[in-house]
Amino acid sequence: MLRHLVFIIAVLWMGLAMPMLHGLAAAKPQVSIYYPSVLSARERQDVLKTGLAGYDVTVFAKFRDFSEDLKSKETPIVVAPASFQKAHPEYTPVLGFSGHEGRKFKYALLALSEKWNKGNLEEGKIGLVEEVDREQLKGLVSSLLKVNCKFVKTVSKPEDLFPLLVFKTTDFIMISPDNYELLKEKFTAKVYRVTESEAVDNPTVFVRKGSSVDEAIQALKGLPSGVLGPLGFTSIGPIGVAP
Amino acid sequence: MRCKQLLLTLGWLLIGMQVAFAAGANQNVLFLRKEGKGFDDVFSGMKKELQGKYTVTDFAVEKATSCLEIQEKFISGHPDLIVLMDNKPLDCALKYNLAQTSDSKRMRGVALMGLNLKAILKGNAFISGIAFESPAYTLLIQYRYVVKKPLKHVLAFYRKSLFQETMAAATKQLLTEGVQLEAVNVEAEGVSKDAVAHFVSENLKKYATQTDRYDVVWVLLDSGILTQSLFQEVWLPVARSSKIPFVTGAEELVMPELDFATFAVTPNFSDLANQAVQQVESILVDHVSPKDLGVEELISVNKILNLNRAHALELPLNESSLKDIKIVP
Repeated sequence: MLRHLVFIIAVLWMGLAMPMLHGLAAAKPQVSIYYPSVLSARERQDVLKTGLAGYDVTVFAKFRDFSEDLKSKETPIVVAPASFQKAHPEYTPVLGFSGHEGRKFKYALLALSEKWNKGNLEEGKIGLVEEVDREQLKGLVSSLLKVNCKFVKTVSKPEDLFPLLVFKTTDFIMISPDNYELLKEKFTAKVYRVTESEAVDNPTVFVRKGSSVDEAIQALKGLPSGVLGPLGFTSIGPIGVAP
Repeated sequence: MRCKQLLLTLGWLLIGMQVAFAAGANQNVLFLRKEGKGFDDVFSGMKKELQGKYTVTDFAVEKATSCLEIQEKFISGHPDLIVLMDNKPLDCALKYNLAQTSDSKRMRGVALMGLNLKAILKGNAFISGIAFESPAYTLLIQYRYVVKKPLKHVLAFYRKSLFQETMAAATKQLLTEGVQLEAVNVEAEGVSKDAVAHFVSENLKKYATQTDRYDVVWVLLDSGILTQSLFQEVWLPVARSSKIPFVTGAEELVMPELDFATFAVTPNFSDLANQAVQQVESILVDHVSPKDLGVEELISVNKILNLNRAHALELPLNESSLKDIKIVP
C-alpha cells in the first residue's frame, strides 16, 4: 500500500515538476529584431544564432510582420531603429550598436536628377524603408530632414528604394550610408546626394519595462566582433556611454 | 444669443466631422476581386492593414458576374473608394464612371492585378493603379546582380501597336544603369496575327543567337507574340539552342521542366498589397487625386533562377546574391 502511495507521489511529482524544470530551462527570453538592412533576415538570423545560442531570436524581414508580432505578445527584448521608442513607451533603450561612423549615423537623401534639390524638397515625394507605422511616418521624416514633408512612400526593403527613383514613383530616397554602400554593387545609376538627415542612433536594444532580462542583456553586450562584423556593426554598449 | 449658440454647435460639429474624416472613420473601401491564390494573398494583406481604420467590404467577381451586378455594389454600398483587382471589375468601373453625369457620382479607385493598366488608365482622373507586369528594369538589374557577367545589350521582341510606351520607358530606365535595350518591332511587316507570326518565325533565331551582339533576351509577356504555336515551334527551340540566356516575368517560364528561361521576376504579393494600401490612403487621407498618382510601376519582386539553364549556359553566379532568391530545381 505504502509502495503504491510512494509510486503515485513519484508520478505526480514527475508530472508537475518536470514541466516546471523544463520551463526553467526554456526560460531564456525572446529577442525580436527588425531594422532595415541589405543583408537578408535569414543571414542575420544565422549570424545571431551563433552569438545568442539558446535564445529565441527572430529577425524580421519586414516592419509590418515585426509590428504585428509585437501586438500579439509581450516580447521582452527588441532590437529596432531608434524611432521605435516614440511609439513604444513601454520599452526602455538599454544598449546601442555602433557602426564605422560611431553610435549615430545620418541618412543620405538621394535624387536621380539635379532637378530635385534642397530647394524643392518639400514638394517632392520621399521614399524610405518602413520603420514606423504609417501614421508616424511624415512626422518622422519631417523631423529627420527638418522640412515639412508632404509625400512619403515606403518600401519593405532597401533594394526597392532605387526602383522608386528610376520609376519616378518618388523624387528622393532616404537611405542609411551602410545600406547605400552595399547597394552600389547592384545599382550603378548616377545619383545626386541632396542632403543628409539629422544624426540618428544606430539600431538599439530595447527592454520591455518590468522584464528581468539581465542575463540576455549581458549576452547581447558580449556579442563578439565575429558576430557584430557581419551585421555591419563594430561594437555594442550601454546607452549614454560613449563606445 | 440663440444664434451664437447655434454657430458654436455648428462649429463643434464641423470640427468633429473634420477629425472623423481625417482619421478615415466610417469611410468605406469596397474590394471587387477575382478569387484565386495571388488575389486572395493581396486582398488579405490589404485588408489586414486597412481594417480598423476603414469599413472594408469585398465582392468576389466571377466569370458569370455581370457589370450590372458590379455597378449595383457602387450604388448600394456608397463606397468612398473601390479597389479593382483584375481587368473585369476595372472595365465595369470605367463604364460606370463614363455613364455618370457629374464628377461627384464617379467612383474613385485603385486598380491592380490587371493587364496593361498603364494604357487603360492613361490620364484617368478617378482611378489610379499599379502595373502588374514586372518592369524590365527590375528584371534585368536583378539578373545582372545574380550573374557575374557584364550586361550591356538586351534584345526584346515587341508589338509596337501595344507596347511602344512600355519599350520607351524601359529603354530610358535601363540607360540609367548603362544597359541598352534593342527592341525589335514584330509588326514591321504588318499587324495581323499571321504577319506577326511570320516575323517571329523568320527573325527570332537570327537575332536571339547573336552572342556577340546581345547579353540577354528579354521575353515580354505578350499573348500576341507568345501564342501557343509560336512558343512551341519558335521560342522554345531557339531558347534551348541559343547561348544567350532568356529572362522573363513569369515563374512558369523559368521552370526546369520547360527548359526555357534562365531567370524570372514575379510580383511580390505581400509588398504589392502594401504599395496598394499606400495609394488607398493617399487618396482617402492625404486627398491626393488618383490622376496625380497615375499608374505606378510594380516595385517589389520575387526572383527565380533556373539553375540547370544557368549551368548549361556556363553563367558565373554571384554566390551572395543567391541567398534571397528561389532556385529551381
